[in-house]
Amino acid sequence: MIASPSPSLGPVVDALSGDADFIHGWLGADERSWLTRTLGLEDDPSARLRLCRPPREGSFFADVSEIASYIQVDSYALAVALREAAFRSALSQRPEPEAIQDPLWKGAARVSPPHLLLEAASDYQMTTAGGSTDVALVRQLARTYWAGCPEEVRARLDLRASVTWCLPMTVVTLPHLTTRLASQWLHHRAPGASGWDTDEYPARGLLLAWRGHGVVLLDGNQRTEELVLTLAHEVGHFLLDYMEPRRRIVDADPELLDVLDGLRPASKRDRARAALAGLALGPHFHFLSRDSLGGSTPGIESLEGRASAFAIELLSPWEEALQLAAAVEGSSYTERIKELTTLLAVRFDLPLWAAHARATVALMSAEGGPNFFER
Amino acid sequence: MALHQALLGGSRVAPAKLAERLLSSVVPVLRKQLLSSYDIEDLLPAALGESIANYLKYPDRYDPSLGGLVPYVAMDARGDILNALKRRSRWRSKEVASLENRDTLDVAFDPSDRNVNVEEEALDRVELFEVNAEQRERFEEELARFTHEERRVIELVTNNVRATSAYADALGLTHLPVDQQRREVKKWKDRVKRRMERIRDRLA
Repeated sequence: MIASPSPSLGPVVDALSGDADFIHGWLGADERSWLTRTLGLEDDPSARLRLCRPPREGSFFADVSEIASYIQVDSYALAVALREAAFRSALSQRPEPEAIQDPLWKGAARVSPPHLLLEAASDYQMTTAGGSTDVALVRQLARTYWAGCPEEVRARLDLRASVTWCLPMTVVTLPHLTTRLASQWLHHRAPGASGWDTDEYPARGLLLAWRGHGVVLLDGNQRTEELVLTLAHEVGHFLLDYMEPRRRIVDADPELLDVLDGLRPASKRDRARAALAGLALGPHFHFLSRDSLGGSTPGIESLEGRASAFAIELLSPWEEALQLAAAVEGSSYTERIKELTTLLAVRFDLPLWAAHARATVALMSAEGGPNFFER
Repeated sequence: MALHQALLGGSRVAPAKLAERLLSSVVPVLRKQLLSSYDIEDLLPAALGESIANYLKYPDRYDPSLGGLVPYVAMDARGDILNALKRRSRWRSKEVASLENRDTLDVAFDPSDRNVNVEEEALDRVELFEVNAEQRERFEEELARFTHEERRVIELVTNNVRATSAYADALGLTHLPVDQQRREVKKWKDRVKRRMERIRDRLA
């Protein structure tokens, strides 16, 4: 008698199709195939992965580590792949046509699909931390961010790894990044997406966000320290300009999230509740329209300044910068600035211009700035 | 029991671990209960898959005080298999009548036949089972749940494409040795065949 073959997990996986409580239903079909190929999984481990529950945001590190151990893949590789797969899945979920007819979506027509937060960091914007910034908010946010990271990532201040472990975000590095290249990248990954209609210009970084997920595209031609700072800047935008408004909306009324995500049009009740809570209900857009000098509107300048301040804070925590400032010994203010700039650049891998900006503020705080003779 | 508790507790990997264990435990039970009386090998994977999936989706419905988990899942799968057998016997009665009126059909649909060519013929013949207007809508809803690869396989089969190379190309398997391509293509076809059979049974 010929022994019957052992049954496979395939039929169990098939039966869970569409159920978002399992990875198989949490991701779309195309994203599942992509995930399997990216991780190089054979049929059996692929099926086991699909039967696992998706990792939770609040325990992403522990959950991914458990899943990775079970299917025997590298946990960081799994984390990176899951982040990108989740973003691709989110991207494939188009807004409902009647939802985006709402005037709340006015201005979104420049983007197709018209639902992405778009932010582009350019040389000009990164070096101009203009406008007023709530320093206390930025510092608290940066502290909270690192506090939520796995200890080994926090100890190294490894921003790239921290983004994977701590944020629903994926990071992609492309050579010679421009807005057009980013649009093509989007179109390649989101069937039906035709990118956006914009003048082509180079960018150090670009942020796209949709339904609670984000992707940062980085120009790979930057020096490492500049690239990390650009990433920190985009993380700032993601947290301050996308996730924080989103969180306020969910706290006020979780049902409003459906409006924000384009699942349904806003009702009169929705608008009233949002108005009472002081919330902007429409999707958040942030296009950089430039003048001939590469400048933007005051509103955008303010957001850029806040994101830049956050980036500096994230990479060189204030308390530590202050300790270093208190320890410099140069005989003149100029020497002390130079010494502290070097210390900060080496300690935190900052570009010199950013280290200098940080040194100036830290030394001012530590000793009140240059004396009469040093000015 | 520890795994059941882990599942209830929200463990990320408990569903997969339980599925593996249940597959290996429940199959012998079902074969022992049913194989002597019925030809169930082709029905077993889908029925067991559904039963295990139902348990994983609704683990709180299982009451450990009433019995073991293996009998619980086995009983659910057994019910599905017996229902499928009943539907099959009704379907076969209809097809025999249909076959008598069709001169060109000389191979009966018999999923237990292990001849590959017959199974390919049988899969081809899926398009011949009639659906009325109400069934067509449900059929198309079912088809929408197929993956991109599965839809490609169906498309190739319904276009009477035989060459393994065409399937391998569609499924991204051309980098494999030819023998392995053939095996992998057969796995895909079998998988699609089983799903189509389940759809057919549900529409009946």
